[in-house]
Amino acid sequence: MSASRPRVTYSGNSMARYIFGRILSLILVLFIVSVVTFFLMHQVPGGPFDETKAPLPPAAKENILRKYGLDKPIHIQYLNYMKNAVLHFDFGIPFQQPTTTVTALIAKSWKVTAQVGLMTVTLAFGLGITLGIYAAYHQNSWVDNITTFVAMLGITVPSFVVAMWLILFFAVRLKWLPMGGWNASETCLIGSAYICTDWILPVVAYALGPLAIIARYTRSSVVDVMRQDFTRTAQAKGLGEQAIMFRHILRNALIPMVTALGVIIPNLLTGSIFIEAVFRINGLGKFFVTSIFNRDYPMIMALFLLIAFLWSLTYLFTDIVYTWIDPRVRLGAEGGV
Amino acid sequence: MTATAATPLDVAPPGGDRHRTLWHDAARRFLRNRLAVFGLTIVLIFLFLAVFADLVAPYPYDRVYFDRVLRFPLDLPGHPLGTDEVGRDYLSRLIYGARTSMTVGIAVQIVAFSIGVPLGSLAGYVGGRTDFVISRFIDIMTAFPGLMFSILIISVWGGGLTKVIFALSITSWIGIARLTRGQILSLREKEYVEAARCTGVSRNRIILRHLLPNALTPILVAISFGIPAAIFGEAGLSFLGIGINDPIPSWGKMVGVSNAYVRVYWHLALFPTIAVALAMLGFSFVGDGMRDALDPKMIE
Repeated sequence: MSASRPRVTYSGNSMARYIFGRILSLILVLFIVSVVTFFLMHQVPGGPFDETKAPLPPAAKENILRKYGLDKPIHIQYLNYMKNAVLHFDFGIPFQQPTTTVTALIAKSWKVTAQVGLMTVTLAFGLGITLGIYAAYHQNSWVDNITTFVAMLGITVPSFVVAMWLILFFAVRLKWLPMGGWNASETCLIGSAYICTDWILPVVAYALGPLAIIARYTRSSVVDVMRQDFTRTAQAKGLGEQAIMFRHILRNALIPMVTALGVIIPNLLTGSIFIEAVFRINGLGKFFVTSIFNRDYPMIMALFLLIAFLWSLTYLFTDIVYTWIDPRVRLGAEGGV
Repeated sequence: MTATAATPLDVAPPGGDRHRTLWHDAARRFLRNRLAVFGLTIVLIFLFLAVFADLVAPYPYDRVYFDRVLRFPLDLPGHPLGTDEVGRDYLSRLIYGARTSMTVGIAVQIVAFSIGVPLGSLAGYVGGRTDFVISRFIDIMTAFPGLMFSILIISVWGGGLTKVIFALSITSWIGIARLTRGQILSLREKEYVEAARCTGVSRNRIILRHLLPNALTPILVAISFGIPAAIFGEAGLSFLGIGINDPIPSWGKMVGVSNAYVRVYWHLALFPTIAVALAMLGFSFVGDGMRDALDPKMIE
């Protein structure tokens, strides 16, 4: 969301207190998220066992409701749920696949989402930072112009639209790459499951947005640092271009990138929903959508809690890293906007 | 360019010297920025289409012609952009789609402004326990996965324009509240505020007359970036098929529905894509332009 979180200043002991406080508030967040989701879920008109096709005998329906604990008052249901979730890591049984557990389904599909996400982050940051640095060093060159153009494209066109056009050109027209799927063995090169052609389109479509933001951010950040006095001093004392670039410019220019990371990674968690939907990838995002269409409370609840947990964890993590790598924040200079 | 003379930036503060005010300077800088003017032109065109869709669009958005299903652009004289999968004029649907996008984008930001600014000012000015409570609330909401939550809410309460606006508004005010709080915090110790306090000006009046006008510029910039973000959100929800309900057109939904036909009927995906991209581009340029124009560092 907003990149400009105010940074508080800490030093030594207060750092530990700060982290402790943040962890407490993380637990509070998860509690609130769980309560809100739980009560919201149970407010849904229509349950998973409503008789749409063949009406159930009342006794049978009662049995099913009892089996899933749906006959008890809602706050008891909540307490039971949380007890099982926290103590036994048991998030219940998904209504869409009653033969497994929610935990098993998530355990099966999180790897795919993590793979997509990891490759995307690597591509977005690797290429984004490289392009940004190159564009800053060669202002108004053709690479700079192309970077600006791609950045504009990545910021203005939603990932799912990019995904559709990529499929249309590279899969439908040119038939170079598969239209969807993930780790489908027939699309993997060199007989190895680790280089699959079906990785390319989803990762490119997914990475374009963050890549654009990172490239723009890096470029302006590097240009800023290049104008600083210490850069001029380094040049004046005759340091080589390479040394100036790595020791002086990049070190300082990349600090704000940690904040960008803190904003981009949580957004990637939710962005996966769209990419997985378009490319029919069986990850957490697709499960989230099918669960919503199937009104699968236990699954939605567990996925939402998981995302909220990861989301607040990234925020916490980037804040800590930020105070750690930027001494100015610790020493008491007011960072942020 | 006469059309752009009356920009939103031109609202001069009451009684101020018309010539060297911040707003006047900002408007001048903004109009000198070619990209910003280009963006503003796009935004104004879309706003015009949104407001006057009934007059501009050649057909009603829900008018179905069963004998003209899935026609290519320029295929039929009356349908310059072709027709969709149930035989509705595509140009008309695009124009009404602008209405949907603009309504969502602006409404969400109005909500964001009217929740974020009062909460932020209160936290920043009153401080103490009030600030603590509001700040913790903001922290908690920041850790809320906004888009997921929107999807959740819509899946519970159903789609539709007002519900989409509501769902997107839930987390939209957080950035504004935090920004306002920071601004007020840094302004409230200034001498002129102290002077006002000394002369017995009431708290509300200090906030409204002395602090907010000075805190307003970054908030306006944040709002101008918030509009495309909300448009993005609406497009995403509608793309998944849980946002705006048929027959109301939405660019995101048009792209989503076209997914099934796009291999042959490319125009169904192309035009809404261009519309979304242009709208985003326009608002981004306006936002960039406003930021540059209002940035005090730019004042020579």
